[in-house]
Amino acid sequence: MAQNDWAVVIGIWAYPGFPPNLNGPKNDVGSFVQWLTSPKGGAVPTENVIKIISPSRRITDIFRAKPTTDLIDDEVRKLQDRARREGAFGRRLYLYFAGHGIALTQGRETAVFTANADRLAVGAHVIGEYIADWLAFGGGFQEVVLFMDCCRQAGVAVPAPHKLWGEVNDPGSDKVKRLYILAAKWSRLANERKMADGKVHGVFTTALLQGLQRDAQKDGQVTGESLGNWFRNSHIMEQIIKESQAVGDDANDGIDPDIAIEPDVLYSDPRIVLTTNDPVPGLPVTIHMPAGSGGMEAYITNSNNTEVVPRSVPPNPWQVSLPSGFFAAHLDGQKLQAIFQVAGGVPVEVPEQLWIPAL
Amino acid sequence: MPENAIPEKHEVKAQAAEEGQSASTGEPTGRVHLSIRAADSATEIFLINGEFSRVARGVGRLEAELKPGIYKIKSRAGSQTREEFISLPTGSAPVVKELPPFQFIAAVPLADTTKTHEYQMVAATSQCSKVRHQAGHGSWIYVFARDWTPPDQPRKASSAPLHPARGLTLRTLDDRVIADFGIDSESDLTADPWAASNVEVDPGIYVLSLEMRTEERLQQTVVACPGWQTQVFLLQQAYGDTLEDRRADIGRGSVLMSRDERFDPTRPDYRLAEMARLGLSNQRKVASDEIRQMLAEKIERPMLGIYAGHLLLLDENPPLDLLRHVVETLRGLIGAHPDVEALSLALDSRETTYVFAAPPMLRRSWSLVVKATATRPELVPLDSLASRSADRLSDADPWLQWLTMPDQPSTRKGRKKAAVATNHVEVALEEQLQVLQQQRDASPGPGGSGAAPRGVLGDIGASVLSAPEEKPVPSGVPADEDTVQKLTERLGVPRANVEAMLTKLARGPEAEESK
Repeated sequence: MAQNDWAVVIGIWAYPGFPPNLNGPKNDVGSFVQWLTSPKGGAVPTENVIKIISPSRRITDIFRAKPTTDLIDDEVRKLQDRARREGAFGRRLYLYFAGHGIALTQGRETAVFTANADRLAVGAHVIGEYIADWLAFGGGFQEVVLFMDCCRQAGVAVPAPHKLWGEVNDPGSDKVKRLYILAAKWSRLANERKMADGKVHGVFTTALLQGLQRDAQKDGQVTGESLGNWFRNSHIMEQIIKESQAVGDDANDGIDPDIAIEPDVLYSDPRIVLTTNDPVPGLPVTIHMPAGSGGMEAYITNSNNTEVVPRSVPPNPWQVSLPSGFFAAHLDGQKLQAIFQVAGGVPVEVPEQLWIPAL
Repeated sequence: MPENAIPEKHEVKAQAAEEGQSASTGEPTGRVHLSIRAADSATEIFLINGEFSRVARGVGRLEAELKPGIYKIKSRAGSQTREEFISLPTGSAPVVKELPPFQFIAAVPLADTTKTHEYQMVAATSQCSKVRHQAGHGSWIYVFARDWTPPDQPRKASSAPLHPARGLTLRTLDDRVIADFGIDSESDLTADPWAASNVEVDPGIYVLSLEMRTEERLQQTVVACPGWQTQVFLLQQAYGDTLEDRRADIGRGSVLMSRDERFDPTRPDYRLAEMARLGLSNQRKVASDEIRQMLAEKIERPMLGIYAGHLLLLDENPPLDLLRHVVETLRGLIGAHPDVEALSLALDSRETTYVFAAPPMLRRSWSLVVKATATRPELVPLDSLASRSADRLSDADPWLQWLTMPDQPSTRKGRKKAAVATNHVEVALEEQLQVLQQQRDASPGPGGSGAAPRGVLGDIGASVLSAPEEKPVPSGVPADEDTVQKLTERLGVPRANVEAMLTKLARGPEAEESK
């Protein structure tokens, strides 16, 4: 099935007009393409991956900086032209953008600046949702997946959104499946940080890959819906920010409310199945029992009030393994319960303070 | 429709996805009624089940019939969110959950918000009614600028406190300074500094202008209505890397209105107005039942009415009857106000005869105005301030702001900026003309491929170029009525500006150089 999948990966980190350069996109493009082409990941044929990225040599002249809008428009247009000639030639199209971004208040869309942009040339940008919709409704693909790792804050004046192909009208049909996730909600900033591997990565892309590879799976599959739900509930970006280091002049350690700690899930079609693997075993959960509970029976129920860990006299702390979801630990003897969430791929610690009187 | 679009009903009654049946016992279980009430009616509430799926959504309150089990309640106000779990046992009586107020971030020093000090609330209250400067009669503009430092980050002893209103002036539409808040204000620079100034003015439209260290000025409209005080509250922002670049954050300012020159930081309707403004800034649909009821019954705070009017337009099917009522009520309350008249354009582009010589206060108002000029170009006259600022807008939200350079910038960088400032839209215009030409050539029918090529300006060109000297109209790109309307909408500038640019394009660069 993935033999008919395609990808356009756009990573721009060298901006002579917006110094200093970014560091995350350079590393993130590599990581994302690795997942894209991996047999256990996207399994997209390498020859179907179109990479449009900053060149390896250093460019300081803004007039020579690439990639430009034209370059990206041309590649997108080739796909659309092929769709016009052949009809539906692909199953799924991935679109990945990483670079300096901006929220366009006029159309409420998100743009990534191309390499030749600066405060005087703000027309040098490409709009993620616009390109995705244009290709989604163009008939070439059944599924379109859009990921944008960039800021969504307004700032410089962009007088006219770059929409080379006119307006795109949603035909209203449910035929095309879409999964669009953006790194930040409206008016928030994306963030890049130094991660455990010693390299700088975008917080969103780091989280995205973690979700795609394992943690966003439900019953062995990562779908559009499971990925969207996982992002909304797992606090994964917040976790990544806490466990990583700020870089450069960025003094924000996740405290600034402008920094995005949750992405924006615009569409998350459950029919899009990104990966199918063996179900992930449960995550380790450590429950600290309340004072005076020694020798008492305890058990754990899930969100459907079904007992998933049978009654026993647990040690303190109590170590269990649970899948993603909501759970309640019960101590009938003290009429106490502790409700907690398992998600995000991170081991869970349930502190003693979480025990409260049961209803 | 994106998933973050709120369902049409702002109070959702959720049903369990399946009939309740215990997996372990196989016996049927009854549903549990859950009521969630937020302290602030503009708080978004989401209910999430153990599959991490959203099962219900509401604003201000939420009612749901649910299977027994564990759910997560996620609430949001402004940029802040909060989560907590709730367990609904089998056979439980209806459960009522009250959510405490959010301590959101606000530029206006309100009670129960973060980034404020008691002494700043007191100062904002006491200074509000003292007229500091008299520049007219019948209306007032009150500006309160302050800074705020987190308790765990005390200001360095070596740095002198900066005046929070420096570079901030109130001006007339023809750029005459009425008040310089950096000089003419009551202030206290000892702790986290504040500065306040209440200026009495004639009712009308004014410009709040912030001069940067780089000589650029960031400007926005402030409207003074007869018998009302317009209150502008500002925190600080770093516009650059140096301490000198720290100035009043007018892009995220709070604007309220008061009839009696009073400010009360504990008033619930001030809090609601601020949450509505934050909702607009964050593109959140927070027009709750309570807000709608207020709009239908009695609007006492005009800015809340204006914010709420725009929030109604975020609905998938905006309640136009309610919006019409809002517009009519606001007109009665504050008279002709550009943002109210802009809202009327959402009802019908012929709704108003108001001429927008000055920009409105809100970005969303401006979008409505520009869209309407496609068929009514007279709404924004060429060479008005609104027209002149249209190609220099900052993309701030929700306030409409524009940048100006001084006539004679003192720096080379400043002069270069001034020279190219108008090129963005012209470049975009040429690009869009190409697009429209390509689309026209690709489509069959009149004007499409096979038909005789039309002149650059088509029918519009003849009237636009009715100048004393008859210039030959170059052949190539058509620009008929349909094209001009499309260009107006796509470029986001008033139609008069589009026509002026088309005229300039038709004349060519040689004509421009010979001027």
